[in-house]
Amino acid sequence: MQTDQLELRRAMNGDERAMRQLWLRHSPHIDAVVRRLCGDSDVAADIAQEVWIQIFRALPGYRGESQFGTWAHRIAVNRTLNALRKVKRIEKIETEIEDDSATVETDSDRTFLAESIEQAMEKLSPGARMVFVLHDIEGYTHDEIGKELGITSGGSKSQLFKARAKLRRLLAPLVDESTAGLGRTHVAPV
Amino acid sequence: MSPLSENELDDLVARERERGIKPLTEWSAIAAQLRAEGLIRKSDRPSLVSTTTWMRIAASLLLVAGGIAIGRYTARSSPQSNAVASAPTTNASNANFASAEEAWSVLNRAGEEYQRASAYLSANNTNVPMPSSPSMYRTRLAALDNVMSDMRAALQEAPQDPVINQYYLATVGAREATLRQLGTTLPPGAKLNRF
Repeated sequence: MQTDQLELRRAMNGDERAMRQLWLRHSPHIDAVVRRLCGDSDVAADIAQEVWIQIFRALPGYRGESQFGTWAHRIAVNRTLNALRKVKRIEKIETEIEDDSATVETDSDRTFLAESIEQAMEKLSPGARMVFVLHDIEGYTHDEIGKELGITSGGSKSQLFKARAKLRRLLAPLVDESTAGLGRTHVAPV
Repeated sequence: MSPLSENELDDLVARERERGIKPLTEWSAIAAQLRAEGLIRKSDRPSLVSTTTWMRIAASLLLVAGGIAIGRYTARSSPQSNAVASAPTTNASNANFASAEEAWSVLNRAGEEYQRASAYLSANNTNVPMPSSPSMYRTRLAALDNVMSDMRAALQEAPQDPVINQYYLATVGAREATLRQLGTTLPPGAKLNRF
């Protein structure tokens, strides 16, 4: 903990080595948030760089009231949403959330079965994915999501319900596979 | 195939929350922008001391320790040197100073005494076999010069550090003594311009 504090102080003073250590330690999780919110890996890479620049710009103002990781996560979410707003993706999401026709599944969506939650999230509509990531993974409330995305709290709840229902269906094989082996041992001839 | 239960999905979400990914960017790209914005402090001098430098400093400590050992050996055969030889053996845990100023005063006095003793021994000590070849003195001088250079760099970073100050002074004293010793090995009439 003391090492972390020392490293933070050095990073605040512009010490490159300390800044790099912070980045190395926290980028796997910070970048994961960016990646989940963006959906698109190329866009995510550009935004992740902006996020880290913003984290280091804001670092002198960090007062240690929360863990550095928590503080940096908030910046990552805000910056990612702002960046997506700039590329007009948020407007699309806002329209989509108010218009359920955008969430109609295609035939290929209905037959797709995911091998991981990450893969399954990619099959969600951008609006549903964003609400799901913010609520279930990042711990935002529906009110906070409403403010961040410019939608109503009810719209956020509705999107979360749809997102979870779709994920439960897409991810069914994961649990079936893990329990299938156990089942076979029970039915095997003695 | 039945869908996951809500709890099963929650378990997967909890695992996803903990999952990290490979960084999406390179540090060099981030650092370049931070540098352009002046967020990375520019180093106006080389970092305090490199590994090589610390190895040199360690070598200097060995030289100083060697000097002390010679001093002790000399002290056994020369009663006049007793006071000088006992100074470096003072145990820090037994030191009883009233203030930092007093400790500084003692440290400075000891440094001056160390230099005077080194100079005296280089000129008058005949009991201890010393290197007689000029090349050996030159090697020692070159090592001491390297140490002094590193110590000066360290002093710029930490001018108040008593340990660095002490070893810098000790190195200066050892260098002067070595120069005098080198002078005694030169042929009559020869003048020392460089080593």
